[in-house]
Formats: sequence, C-alpha cells, structure tokens
Amino acid sequence: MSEVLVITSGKGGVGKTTTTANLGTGLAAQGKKVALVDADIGLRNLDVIMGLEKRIVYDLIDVVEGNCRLKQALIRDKNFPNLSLLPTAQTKDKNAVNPEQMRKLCNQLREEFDYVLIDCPAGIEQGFKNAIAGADKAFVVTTPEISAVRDADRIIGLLEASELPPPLLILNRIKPDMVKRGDMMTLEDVADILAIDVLGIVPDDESIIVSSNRGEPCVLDDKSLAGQAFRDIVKRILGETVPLMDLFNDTKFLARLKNFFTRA
Amino acid sequence: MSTQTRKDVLEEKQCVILKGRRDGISILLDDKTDFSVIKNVLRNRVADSRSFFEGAEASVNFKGRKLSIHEEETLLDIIKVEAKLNISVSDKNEQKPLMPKFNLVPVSPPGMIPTERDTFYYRGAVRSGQIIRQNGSIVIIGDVNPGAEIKASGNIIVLGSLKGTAWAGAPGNNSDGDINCFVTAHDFQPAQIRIAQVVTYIPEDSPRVQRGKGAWAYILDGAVYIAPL
Repeated sequence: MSEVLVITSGKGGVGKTTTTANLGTGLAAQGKKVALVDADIGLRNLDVIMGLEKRIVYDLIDVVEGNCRLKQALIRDKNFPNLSLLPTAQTKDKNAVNPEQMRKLCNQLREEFDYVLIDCPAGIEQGFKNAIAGADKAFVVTTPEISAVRDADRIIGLLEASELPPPLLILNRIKPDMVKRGDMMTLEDVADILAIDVLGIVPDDESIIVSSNRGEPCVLDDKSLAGQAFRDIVKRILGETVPLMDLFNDTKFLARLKNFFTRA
Repeated sequence: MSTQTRKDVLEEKQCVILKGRRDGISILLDDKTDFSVIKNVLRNRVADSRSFFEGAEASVNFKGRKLSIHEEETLLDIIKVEAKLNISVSDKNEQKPLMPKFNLVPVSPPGMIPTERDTFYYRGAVRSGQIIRQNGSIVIIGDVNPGAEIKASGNIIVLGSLKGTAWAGAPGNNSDGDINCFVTAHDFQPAQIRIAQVVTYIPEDSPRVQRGKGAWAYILDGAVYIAPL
C-alpha cells in the first residue's frame, strides 16, 4: 500500500524542493517510512535543504547504472531513522536517466517504504518525464502569480495526458495582506483557472528561508505558520480531514498568537 | 562557601559522563559547569576507571559542549596522562559502513610525499557540477565551490578555498587507489574528503576546520586525519 508521489510545478522557484522536504519530514514524524528522491539531476538541492549534502557518496545515477546497491546510496536523515534521501548527481544532466529506469527504481523503493516522494525538476522536458514515470500521484505546487499558474496549467495538462490520476494543488507563498488589498490572486482565483482539488495552502513565511539555510525543515518548528500548513497537508495525505488554514481571519490568528505566548 | 554538600558532589560527578561504545569512548560534558571543574572531574574519573579505557580502541569523542581546540587538547592530555594511552579523537559519524572514523589529532603526518606523478594545473574557479579528473596530481589555482568535484589518482592541492568534494589517490583502471596521497587547501572547508577508498566528512561544529584556515588531510592506519598547515 505504499505510494509514490511526485511534487512538480513547471515553473522554477515556487517551492517544490521545500515542499518535498517538509512533507517527507512531516510524514516521517508521523511514523511512516519515507524515501525522498531528488530527480533534479545536475541541479541538486534537496540534500542541501535536508542538511545531508556532506554525506553523499553514491547517487541516483550510480544506482540506475548499477555502480552500487540502492541501500548504499540512501542517506538516513539526522532526525528520523525512518526517513531516507536518495540524492542525485550534480555532475550529470537529465539525459543520464530514462523513464523506464526511474520506473524500476520507484518499484524498488516501494518495497521498502510507505511513501516515496519525488522532487521534480522545473521544466517539461526529459527531467519532468523521468520524475513522473514511476509516480502514482502528482502534487502541483504553484504560487499566486500569473506566470506560475500558467506553467502549472501546462503541467496539469501534461500530467493528464500521461496515465496519472488528476493531480492535487498546493498553493504556496500566499501573502494574506496582499490578498486582502486585492493585490494578489486568491485561492479561488487560482483554483478557478486550474480546476483541480486543493491539497493545501501555505503562507509566505520567513522561517522557511531560515530553516532551509539550516538544513532543518520548518515542519518540525511548532512556531512556524508555514510549518503548521505543511503539518496539515501531511494529515490530509494520511487521510484525515483538516480544514484549510484560515489566513484571513484576524481573530483566529490573534488567538493562535495568544496561544503561543500562554504556552511559552 | 567552601563546604561542599553531598548534592554538589553528586552534581559535579554528573558533569562528566563516560560511555563506552563499540568503536571508542564517548565523553558527555556538561555545558554549564566551569571548564576548570570539568578538567578536575575528568582527571579523577579517568584515574578511577583506568580499566574502562583498557582494551577500548583508543578513539574518543566529546559531546554536549562546544570545545575550543585548546580545551579539547587539554582534556585529551589529561586522558593520555591518566590512562597512559595514546589517543585520537573521533567525531560522531552515524554512517558506519561508508564513513570510517574521522580523526582530528595530528599524529605524525607522513613525511614522504609521492612525487613520481604528472601534475595537472587548473586556473580558475571550479563551480558546482564541474569535475576535474586527472591521472596524476592536481593543483587548482582558484576556488573549488560546493558541488564541484576534484578527482585525482595523485595528490590534490587547492590554492584557494576548497568547499566541494576532493578525491585524492582515487582508484583507477589497475589500482585500488593510493593511500599515501593527500589533499590540502589554503582555505580548507571541504564537503567531503576521499582518499583511496576512505570516505569522510567533517561535522559542522568541528573546531579544527575553520573558515580561512589552511589544512591538509591524509591517511594513517586506515583513517583520515586532518592537520592544520
């Protein structure tokens, strides 16, 4: 009953890697066996965000080419023994792997893990085709900007053309103040254009940058609003019904703040 | 103020905890206790438990407290004297099979440096994703950025900062690699060091590898040692 999920977006810089790291860590925190796969060959980042860069010995290409066993290439996370990363090569490019090899790799990982999360590269070429080849489900990450939404739409079309079920949407980096002023697209605007189900919304949060630089995903940070958003998404992946985070109701937000202070 | 209560004594004992592990000894140090107290307690504990150190592979790592190089050396000297042991330091390494013990105390570095090799010079920055591979030694006149890789069957010398991965004495067509090779850099902060078949990385909080400081790495008794230049 293991699942292979691909996190994709079309456009670069909207938060695929951060989302992958946080969802993977969040699922591991819930006790699931999780593998993170960096499919962004040549521009690897997931290892840096997870703080595991220094431990890379073998990578995805080595596994695919048979230079090492899968177990040798998997790097165990610092916090969770049930979370592993399969890093990719920095010195090769997307054409070093083909979809058939990725499918085989995913099936190998499936035997060992409850969830396999694939961090897809930006773009719609070979890298994208490799990343989605072995996946059961796709999550599309976008930000509330017209260009990102346009690219997300293109990606959704390509996902539908492959044999994947309809993807789920994660709307990232929402700035509630701008939305209120009418300067930013709302979730409704985005969902209207893309017409797919929403898995979660994540507010713009400085703690993301801090945690990325530290190599510790913010999903573990109780005080981070984005971390809370990722925890909610993790629960939804596990089948719980959690209402979308209310970013616009000030009283609730104040109550949250008050909560923090009384707890501290 | 000089009367020590029973509780004080107890607490004092708690500030240094010795733990034996399969691959060496862990010493947990309290973060709040004064260093001079730690020194004394450690001296007594080691003297009391000499048998504890006997037979253990002489590798020690300190935990729970940030130590300067000077402090670390002071504590090691205490152990050496009290336990009559020649000890090397290891940093924590979770990945056992691939990452052998990483040692920090420079025992005597090998004086002989293999010279019967071709040397390849590269001028400029080696950037993320680039590999410089050479049958022979490599001298980089410039920086090696994170994500870059230098792979030589001989030695590696970086006249700049080394932040990527360096592989000296790399195994080739007819060899298993050369453990006599070394890696050195003016600014030594590599992501990873490999010499022949030995892979190691340096933990972030290691006091011995500092920004802007030169160092070199070599193999002794199957482990990678890092010594300041």
